[in-house]
Amino acid sequence: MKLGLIVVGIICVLIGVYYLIPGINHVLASPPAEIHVKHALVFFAAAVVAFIGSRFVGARN
Amino acid sequence: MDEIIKVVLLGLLQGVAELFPISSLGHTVIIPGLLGWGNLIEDKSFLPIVVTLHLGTAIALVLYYWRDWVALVRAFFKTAIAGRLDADPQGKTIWLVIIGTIPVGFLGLFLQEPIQKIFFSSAWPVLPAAFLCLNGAILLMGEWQRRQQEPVGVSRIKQEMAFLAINDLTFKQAVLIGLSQAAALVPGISRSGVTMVASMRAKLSHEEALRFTFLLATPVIFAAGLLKVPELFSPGVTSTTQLAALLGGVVAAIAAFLSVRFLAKYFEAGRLTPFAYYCVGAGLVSFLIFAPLALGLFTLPWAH
Repeated sequence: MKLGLIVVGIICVLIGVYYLIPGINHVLASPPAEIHVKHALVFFAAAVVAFIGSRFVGARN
Repeated sequence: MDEIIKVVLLGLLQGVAELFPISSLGHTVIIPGLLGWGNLIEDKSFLPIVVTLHLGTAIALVLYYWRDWVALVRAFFKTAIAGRLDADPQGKTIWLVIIGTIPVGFLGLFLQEPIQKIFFSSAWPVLPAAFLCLNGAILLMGEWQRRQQEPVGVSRIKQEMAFLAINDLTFKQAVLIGLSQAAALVPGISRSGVTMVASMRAKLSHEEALRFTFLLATPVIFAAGLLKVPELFSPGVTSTTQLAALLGGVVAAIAAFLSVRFLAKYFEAGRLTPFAYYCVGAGLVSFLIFAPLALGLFTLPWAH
């Protein structure tokens, strides 16, 4: 579970970076070739949540 | 002058309808439609005003729940640093809010544009009117289910005390409630309405369901407004429009603050039923007006 959340976090960071690269085709975003800051921010935020969440797993809550 | 009247009306509509369970998007499309103003929300020259309307509403929510937000932000940092939810009494609540916000963040990102393209493709808001009726039906169903679970023969306050608080929710329930929030991407469906019904299904009292609904809504409304702030300073925007936007934001904030204060008091013992009847009635009347207009059977004499 802990490792799973870290992997999810890394994937979210990579997807966030992908939406910031100009000139490539961005799926599920319009116009596809432009950078999409909103998409990137949502994925980065999800990554932060996943990384912090991974710290909770295994802790006695 | 004409623009000022529109901005004040839109501010009032946004501030009240965003928080009352009656769909702000539906109302900000339907009422200008009835007045023959067209779809102001989709009008590019009104975009800066729409931004400040959202920010005004979010600021009012933060101001009303400021003690909660200070405690929640502190809890976020304490739990994140300690790596334990029990590092702060509000530790679980802030993570329920965060987990509940994720679904609508992703769904809004990918579905908002396609949904609005479908719903705003017609010159007249026929679909939002129909979905306003559906919103009323959802509220009625939520109340009907709640009545089955309530203890009988006791006062309303005691009935409400039989239900749970936010901290009693599980993370799975928070995700499901967050998912329900995404239904509000459809114009006519109320964010606060569907979130309250979902929270009540998770056995929260009306008052706690309202509080959780507004805690979930604040980051979403704030982010939606904040990300569009650059639109306020884009080249085509005149200083008159910026002033009008500021006025709209202030009106929305005042209306939203008064609305949340009223609702918090109302739901100590009140129900969703009056809002449900209003949505069914208003949706039905709007549908009966807009459907013949969309079919070209008649025109509004005051429309331009």
